[in-house]
Amino acid sequence: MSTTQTEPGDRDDRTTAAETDEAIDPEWTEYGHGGRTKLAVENLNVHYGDDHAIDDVSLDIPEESVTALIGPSGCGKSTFLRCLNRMNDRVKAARVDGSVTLDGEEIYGDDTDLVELRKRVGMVFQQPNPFPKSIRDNVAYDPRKHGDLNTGLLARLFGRSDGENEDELVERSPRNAALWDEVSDRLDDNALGLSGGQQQRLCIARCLAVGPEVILMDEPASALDPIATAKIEDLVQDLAEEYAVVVVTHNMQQAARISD
Amino acid sequence: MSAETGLGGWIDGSAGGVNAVAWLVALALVVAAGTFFLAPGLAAYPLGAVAIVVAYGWLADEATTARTLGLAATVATVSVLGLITIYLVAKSLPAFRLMGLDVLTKTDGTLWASSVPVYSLVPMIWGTLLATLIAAAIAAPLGIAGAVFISEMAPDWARSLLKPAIEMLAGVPSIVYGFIGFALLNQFMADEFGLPTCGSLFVVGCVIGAMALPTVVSVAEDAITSVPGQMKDGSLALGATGWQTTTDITVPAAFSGVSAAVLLGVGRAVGETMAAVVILANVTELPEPLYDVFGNTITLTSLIASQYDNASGTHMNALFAAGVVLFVTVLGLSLGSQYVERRMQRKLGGSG
Repeated sequence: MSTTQTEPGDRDDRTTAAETDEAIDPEWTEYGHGGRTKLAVENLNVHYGDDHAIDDVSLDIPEESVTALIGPSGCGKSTFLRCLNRMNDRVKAARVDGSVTLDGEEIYGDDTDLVELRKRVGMVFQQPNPFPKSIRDNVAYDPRKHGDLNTGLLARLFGRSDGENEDELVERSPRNAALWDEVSDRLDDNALGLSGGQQQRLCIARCLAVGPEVILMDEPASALDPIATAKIEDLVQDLAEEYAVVVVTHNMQQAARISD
Repeated sequence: MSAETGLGGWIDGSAGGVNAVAWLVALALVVAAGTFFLAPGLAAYPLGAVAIVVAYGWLADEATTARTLGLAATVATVSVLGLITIYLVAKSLPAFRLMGLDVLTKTDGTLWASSVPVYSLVPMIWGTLLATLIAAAIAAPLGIAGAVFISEMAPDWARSLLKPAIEMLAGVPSIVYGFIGFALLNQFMADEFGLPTCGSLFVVGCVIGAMALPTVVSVAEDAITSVPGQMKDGSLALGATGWQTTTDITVPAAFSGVSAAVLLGVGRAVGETMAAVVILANVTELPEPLYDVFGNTITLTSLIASQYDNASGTHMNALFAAGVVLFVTVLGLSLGSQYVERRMQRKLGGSG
């Protein structure tokens, strides 16, 4: 497959290449968003050993939009998503070729700072995976690690105050993730006591707290009931005001509802 | 016999009504047990009958027979444990009657002499405590560091070599460790540091710590490896480094398993006999000063192991008292580890 695929809602799998080749409607390729390209993927190939999981995919992801990737199970959607913030580096058998640029900068360079990259390209997983800590710690964990909060030892020693106040962050992120009203009175409870949908929104809040530019979501609602799913879908659309959101789903209706 | 009817009812539970097979097997077992205790010489006949009844029951109603045998096995295990405990306590009572609470508190004058007789367990308890602390101080940090390295940092080929190698170390008999401690470490300490006595709690602690290491590493490694990869992904995907993820997410999430590993190692240290008895000269006195770990004293286990063969009368009862103290300590440790584990599970489970 050597077609350059540029429409959102595209399938990135070679087995469905024939269908998508025919089905490309010019209207789809003009997003009408006028958005600048945030992430540009060119000729991306991923091999797991002998298995060629992603075959020469090229795709532009505009900023301030929702891009949905749909396709059957096992066709490489998640693999593709994980390439965008180099989480596939963790999979030892995976070999990635091709180019992914974020704001024009190659992320597969040798000198890419993975910490910096993943701060800018955050990720939400299929299964809600909050840390076994309090809700507050879940939200503030990564910003603390990045030194973005003025609570660290250095900050206290040197009176540094360029970071955001932790309490403000712990309110702002869950608020943006439509979770604040449900957790505001129990921030110090363990996050594993939340319901599945709340946990997933907490994971989104945790992701927002880092201050990303792109949010990758791997079937964020597949483990949730319809009401929780609807909340996540609304949230995804709200997030597109500010972020470039890439959502993997195997649900056509959901893709149609949330993507631009 | 209402209890028995209750048991029978439980055994018949699913079948409904009286089940002849269950009663037959239970009756055969009870008769065999009774014969064994009353006339051991004749026990072979009822045991043969049990075999026949079980064989018949297995063919007639496999589920009921298996359930009855399972119940019998459980009852036997629990009652053996109970009988051991009762025997231990009963045998130690004369020592407590002779010494009163002094057996646990007497710290001056003659502490241990069968000629007087006077028996104070204080030196042994103190020795056990010091040896355990030293062993824990060695096994806990090294063991946890090793477990973190193997599970989180080592490349695959190193892990596949290290894990089995460390587990193999756990199989080395304790007398081998003890003998190495006696022949090598005691000599080394005497030569290099000029210790006045051969054998010291420090060497015992080191050897027991090394013995406990494989267990600590192996159990802690299992606990750390079992932390779901998604949880680590969640941390890494937002830009935390691998080291931050290990220290702040993975190890705390595995805390209950890791602490169980350490307590398991400590429990082993408390109960370890061979190393202590071989390395120490088993002097029944408190070290002078108290914190002198290079002195030559004694532990609870090495007391029993070094004196049982020429003990009689209250001397023997005093050794049983040492056994009771040991038993209670290890029981306390095991209860403590279960408590820690339950608390952590509640905390991690989210209801706490």
